[in-house]
Amino acid sequence: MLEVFSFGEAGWGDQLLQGLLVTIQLALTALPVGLVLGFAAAGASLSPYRWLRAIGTGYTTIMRGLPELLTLFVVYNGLGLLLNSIVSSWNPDARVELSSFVAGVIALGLVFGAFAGEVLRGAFQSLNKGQMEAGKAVGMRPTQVFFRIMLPQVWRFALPGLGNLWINLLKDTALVSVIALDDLMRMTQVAVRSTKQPFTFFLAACLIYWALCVISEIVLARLEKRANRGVRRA
Amino acid sequence: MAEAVVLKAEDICKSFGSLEVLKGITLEARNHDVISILGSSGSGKSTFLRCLNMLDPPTSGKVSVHGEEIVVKNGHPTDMRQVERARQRLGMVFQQFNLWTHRTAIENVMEGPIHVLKQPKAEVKERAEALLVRVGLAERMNMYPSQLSGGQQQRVAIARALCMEPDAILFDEPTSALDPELVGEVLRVMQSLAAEGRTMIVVTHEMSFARDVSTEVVFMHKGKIAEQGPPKEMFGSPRTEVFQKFIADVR
Repeated sequence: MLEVFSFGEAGWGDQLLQGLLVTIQLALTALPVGLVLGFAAAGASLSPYRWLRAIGTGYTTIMRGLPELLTLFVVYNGLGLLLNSIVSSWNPDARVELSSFVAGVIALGLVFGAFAGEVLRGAFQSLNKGQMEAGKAVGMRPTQVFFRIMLPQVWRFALPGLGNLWINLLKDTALVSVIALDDLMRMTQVAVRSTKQPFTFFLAACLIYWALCVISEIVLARLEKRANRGVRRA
Repeated sequence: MAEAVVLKAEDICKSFGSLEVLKGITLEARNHDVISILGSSGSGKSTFLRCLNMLDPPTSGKVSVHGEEIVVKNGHPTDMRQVERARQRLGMVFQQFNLWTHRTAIENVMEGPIHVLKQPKAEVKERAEALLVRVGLAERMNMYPSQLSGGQQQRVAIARALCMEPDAILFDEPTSALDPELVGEVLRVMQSLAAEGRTMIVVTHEMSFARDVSTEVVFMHKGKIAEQGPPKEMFGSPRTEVFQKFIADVR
């Protein structure tokens, strides 16, 4: 029975592995995009300027209210059209193609960023203000206060929430299979169609996604331990 | 011969919204002065201290460090670089210690000199170790703040201020958050700093420190200086009724 997973002509092993790599690449590329957007959103919603707060809150509220699949379609189709209309106004013959990978990164990054923005906003608000004052009082620049005092401590409050978002992101990559990106989910479906063995391949895909989550949780537990150094266990 | 003026505050006023906390405070700290600022809670003494290093910039009035005025317009310092330079010269010790919880005791002490003053690490480490030994924490240098008692944390905070080699140190009620049995160890360190001629401005409720250690006592009442002078005179024959009442209440 296991020969269907063998590598080479006979089995689907290499296709599934290829799909797994695409899934991991997609998630790992969307993560930094999402984190940057998350920090920007948190910064905006904590800013003293009303218009910036409005942008931050608007982004997180709208993004969190949309189904991920819809976001993906809007990015893949809408953004593609928009880019094309911009480009063709310069040069009527030019065409740009938004690849399904790039569309996936943008859509997943936007979703991750909206949720991460809320997690990070809460984390920054939980920081001890006195420690920032102590930084200012020794003459630190605002950037030093941010990078040397706030940022190392913000992970302590943010990591549990961000860890959940990462696992969601990992699983949401499966949505990208509907815009024809050859990720693990799509390769599984192709294999099922071709072999007529849905149970075998869907179970295999389940186990692989689950393994990714287990590995992630191990890494996250280590990161949390590191972020919590110096904090007494309650 | 008069000592050089380290820190000068002229006619400092501070309002939070419509609440007027400071109504014109003038104070001068010369080299080796140990000035205790007393007053009941709400008298504005902590706010005044925080005006000196611009953690709460004054609404009006002038603060000068070594004769250089920190320019404040509309309640905001105009040149943050200048403020940062002044803060490097003025150490601060907080009521709640405010140690950085993700750094060990010695890392807390070394942080400023290395990252703000850009001094070489080896040199700073040597100085930090000597300072922690001096405040009685030789055995606890590599512990995190959460592993230390309040008194120990406050001594680390004092070492952190000292390691910047400041011209003056501001103390904001340094013993008020401590359990009574831990107050003594912090006061002893402060006393030894005074004995070696450090310039200190101390907001405190510790009458014994004000009377026995400081060179000058300032009593604040409702945002103004009500009485000011050498501790012997102040405690021996208080001139104002409010200060008489304050001493009597504290006793």
